[in-house]
Amino acid sequence: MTEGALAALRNELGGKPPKAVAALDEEHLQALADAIAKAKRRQAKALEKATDEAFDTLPRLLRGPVRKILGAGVLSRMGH
Amino acid sequence: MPTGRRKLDIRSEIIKLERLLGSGGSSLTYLESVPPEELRRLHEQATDAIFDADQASIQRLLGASRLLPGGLTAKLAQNVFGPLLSARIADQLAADQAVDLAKRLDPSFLADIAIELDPRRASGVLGRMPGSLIGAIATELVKRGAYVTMGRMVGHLPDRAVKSAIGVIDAEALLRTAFFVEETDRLNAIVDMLDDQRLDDLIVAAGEVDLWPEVLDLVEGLTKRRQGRVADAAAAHDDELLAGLFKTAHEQQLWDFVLPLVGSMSKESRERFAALKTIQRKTVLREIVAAAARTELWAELLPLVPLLTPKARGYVAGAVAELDRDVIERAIADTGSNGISAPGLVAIAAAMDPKAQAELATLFEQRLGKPVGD
Repeated sequence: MTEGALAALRNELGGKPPKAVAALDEEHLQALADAIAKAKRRQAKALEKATDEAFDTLPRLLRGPVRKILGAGVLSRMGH
Repeated sequence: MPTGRRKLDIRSEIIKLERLLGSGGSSLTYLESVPPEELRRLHEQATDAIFDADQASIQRLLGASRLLPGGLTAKLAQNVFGPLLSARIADQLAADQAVDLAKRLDPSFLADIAIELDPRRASGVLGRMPGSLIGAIATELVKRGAYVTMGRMVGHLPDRAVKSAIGVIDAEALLRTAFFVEETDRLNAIVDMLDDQRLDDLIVAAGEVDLWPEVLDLVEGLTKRRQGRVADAAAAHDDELLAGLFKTAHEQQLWDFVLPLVGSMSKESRERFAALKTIQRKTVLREIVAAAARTELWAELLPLVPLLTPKARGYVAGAVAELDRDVIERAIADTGSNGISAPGLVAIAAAMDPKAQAELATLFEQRLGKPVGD
């Protein structure tokens, strides 16, 4: 019955949750999975913003090598 | 519902999870049924999942930062990266490089980074931070009320750094921090760093801001000798202050924390403790007996019994007589291995009604293989 929410939590944790956590009801398993997903999204957003702003403040000479290391994927998201 | 020490451990672990998950985990009270060791495991799993989620981007940023001179990286970290990104990078740096960078940053910004760090991952860096810098960061963390952060770091800091931090934070902050320390051997080290005056400050702070659960949680992790130091410091105070401790223990069912304190007190402190009016109350004594039975802390309780008033001994005897036979048998077994407990059991027996006395005598004979009177 709780397989859906338990699977969602397992997915967010990248592994099986501890036994007593897995035994929580579906509503709470889902709430926990959502809270972890939200924390990940918040972190990804903060990191992207910081990366973007850091690149803009680099001395021009350094932007080329840094762009190369950061990779095309990151840069296109940053609009550079 | 869990009681006593498990309840406090659960509370501490849930607060840590709420901190990790931010606003997304604002109400995790539904986790109160989960044992503390499983909550700690959940915290570690969630930390790893969140921290590893953006590993590829962080690794690329780390590669880019290696191109920059240390001064520029420090400037970027403080003015642009912000604490979250800096924290994720810091735990990937070589310890020497991270410490060098930290020395160029403001303690206020380092405190912000500390809040975002996972101490397990940054253990190598924390272990090499200069004590003076840790002291400056601790000052800033106290201003932010970041006790979870401080508590989780303690296990990863060398003694000299912990000493620096203790030197700059007040008693209230120290108690609140100790509540979140995960390695109990570090609590022993912390208590050893406190002179009698500072230990007394802890007791006074606990009384003023009602931090008795924090005191009891701290005491639980200490060795008997150190528990004795704290217990004697508490017993030196007036009835009013100690009444606050008992009120908290009563309301939050924390008597199984108080009993080790009683057991490790000096004889003089125990006499004073036994004479307190709050302790002589029937409801209090029944709860104390229940806690001793639940956690098998008879060796801690029994030395107190002969010191109580006859009426109070009667309350204890009544509560013991109502316990299951196997629980009483275990108490008797305890007296066999602990010389100072025997007078306590005799005092209980003497205060029992004749029927309960006869039953207890039978249990004694069965357990010890000889009549009680011999």
